[in-house]
Amino acid sequence: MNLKIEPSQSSPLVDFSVLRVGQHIQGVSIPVDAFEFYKQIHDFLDANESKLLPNSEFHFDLKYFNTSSSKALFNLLQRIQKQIKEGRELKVVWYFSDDDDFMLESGEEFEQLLDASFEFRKN
Amino acid sequence: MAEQKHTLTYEGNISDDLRSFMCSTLKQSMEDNMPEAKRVNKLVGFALELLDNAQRYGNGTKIEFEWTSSGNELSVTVKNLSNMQNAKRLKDTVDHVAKLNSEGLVAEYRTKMLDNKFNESGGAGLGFLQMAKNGAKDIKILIEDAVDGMCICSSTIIASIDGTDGAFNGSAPAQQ
Repeated sequence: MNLKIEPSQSSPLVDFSVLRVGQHIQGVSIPVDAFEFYKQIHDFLDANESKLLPNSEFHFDLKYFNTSSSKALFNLLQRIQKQIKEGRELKVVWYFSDDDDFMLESGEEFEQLLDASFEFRKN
Repeated sequence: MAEQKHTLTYEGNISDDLRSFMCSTLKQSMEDNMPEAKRVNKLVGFALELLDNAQRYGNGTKIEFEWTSSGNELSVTVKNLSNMQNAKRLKDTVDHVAKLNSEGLVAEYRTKMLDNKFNESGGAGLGFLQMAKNGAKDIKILIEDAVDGMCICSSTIIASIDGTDGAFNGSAPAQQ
């Protein structure tokens, strides 16, 4: 029960597993149809959300993303946040680089929109 | 001292891989030439949004792309064939965004992010809101008639490179 999507020039690595704490989205996310790409993660979660370890951490380590991905990422974060509000001890870890305003501001914006609390890590 | 001017142009087909390559090239070029690189992803993001639109609406036809940085000003133009309906919708979106002040931009962005809609074309108009929020000074959409109900849609975004003077002015008068 895992989901592994290898990274491409336009889409990130996705590495989700019910057997470990860390769930990872990593790289560049600029597909024209981000909805289609992120649907694979939603499909995996539809089937396995309840099986994820109770202390699962979702690591968003992205270099940059397009607006279409921004909406798709937000939908995913919304889903995780819903679980947290229902009492699950999940964590969102958002990575940013010191020399890039975009990633930090995007993470802070999502956090505020969701009334959530992310852990921000420099990479 | 003369202002430094850098121009990158491309004419041809567009694909995911090509967009990715162009973004990496622009990013590297900006990082090599800018003393303050914190805004690089935002600036490259402007080009990326216009290229996304061209790929989405261009029906696999060739595009023209031009990126010019001169002094503190960045100008990005993408020209592509489009059907008239999509081009007009694009222009209407820009005209609408142009009427919003900074609070309006944030409110509309918030609404669109929370609305759970994801139209078949992707970002549900978020792209132009995002660009205006990220410091675009001006966005222009020009539409020229072509054959068979198609048109040439030319999208230009102007932004200051260092993020100063970033108040969004909205769309220039339409030239159709």
